[in-house]
Amino acid sequence: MSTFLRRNRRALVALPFLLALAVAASSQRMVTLWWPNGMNDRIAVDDTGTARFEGDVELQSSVQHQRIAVRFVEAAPVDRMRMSLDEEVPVPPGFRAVRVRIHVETAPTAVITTCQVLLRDENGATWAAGTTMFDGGLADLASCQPLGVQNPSGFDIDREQDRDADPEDRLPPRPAAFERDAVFVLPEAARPTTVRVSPDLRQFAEWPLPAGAAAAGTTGP
Amino acid sequence: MSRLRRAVVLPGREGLLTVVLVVAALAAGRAVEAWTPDDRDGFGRPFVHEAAVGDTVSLRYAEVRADRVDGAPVLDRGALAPMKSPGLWVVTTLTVTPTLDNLVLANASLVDGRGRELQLGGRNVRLCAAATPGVATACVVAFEVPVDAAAGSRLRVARSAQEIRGDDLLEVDLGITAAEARGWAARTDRVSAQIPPALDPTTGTRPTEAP
Repeated sequence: MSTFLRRNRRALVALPFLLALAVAASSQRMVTLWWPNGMNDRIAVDDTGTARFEGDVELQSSVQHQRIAVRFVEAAPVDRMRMSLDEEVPVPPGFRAVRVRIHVETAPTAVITTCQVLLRDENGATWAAGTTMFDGGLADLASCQPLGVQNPSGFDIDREQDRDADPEDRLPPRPAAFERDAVFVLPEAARPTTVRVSPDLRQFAEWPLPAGAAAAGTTGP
Repeated sequence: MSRLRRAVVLPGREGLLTVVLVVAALAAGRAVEAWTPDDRDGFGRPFVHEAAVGDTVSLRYAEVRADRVDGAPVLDRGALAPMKSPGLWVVTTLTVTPTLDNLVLANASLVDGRGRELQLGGRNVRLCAAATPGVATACVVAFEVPVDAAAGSRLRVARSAQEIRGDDLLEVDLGITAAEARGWAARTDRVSAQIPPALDPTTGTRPTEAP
């Protein structure tokens, strides 16, 4: 063995490991794509069935620190779906509907417009609430937000100036704790197994969907 | 002076070898960097799935099939004013069945026969209905192409309008021949690109498209 190899044998042995370390260090480029673009931060559900989310949400001109506690209450099959705020129709052939109820606790000032309730199956297929696939259907994009109360938005609104113009201002404030139903319309062949709630489309918590909840049913929403 | 002479130590044989090895390692690193794809055309490249019209392709987020390709100088947009082109409107109708989550196919471009990639925006049209996993829906895209560049055109569609890096992308050879393009250019009737009909909430099926 030459003197050079003998003298530098430790460095030479370490070289492949250092190269591997360098490649691993550059993996932040993958994280840049993966982390902010998906629900990658799973929050544990405690013994009471509650998931406690906490984080900062960027609003139009400020950052809001939020704490949201969510609990899955129940799920049941239903046979009608909402096409607008005041119109319900029977679920058409080839589809079925599931009503999912969650309990939410958060400050009345918390902006939860991005919070969604979702259903998932074992293959990762994910269904959102609403009936937008039907002609004239209704989107339920903020499916954690209760209806019929004031829900703060992330945009700067001059409340004093717009008080009379915005009908939402005449609604009562959102309570600190409430229940919310979300109705999912699924293809008949779909087999959801999990209820997922995500307040910011990055953090999420999951609860198993009780057996039979997604079966054909006859109760109203 | 003597201090300087002491400070400057000329490298011996081993020192020279070390210098050569370091320079070689740097050169090799530079060569590897030049050889590997960069953010623009490598790491940021989508996974391209090639297909022909009529093929159903399983992408990461949906099954997609280009059903029909048509072309004419005038594009019928239903209630909107028709658009006349000095070239051709190439209209492709697709069927999209999401498999991952609720989806509207948001990204479309057309690589014409000369290799130019025409993007959405301006007059080009993308009309895609919202869909939920397991439910087939329709999507119509229309691109304005010079007659002599229509042959050999390929349609590219993907899920996100903003972010296609590392995601699946479908590239469909539209199978347009030069003779077909000339035939379309001589048409006096319009080619249609209208919002695909959503599912009928009473029957759960998509109404038959108007001829």
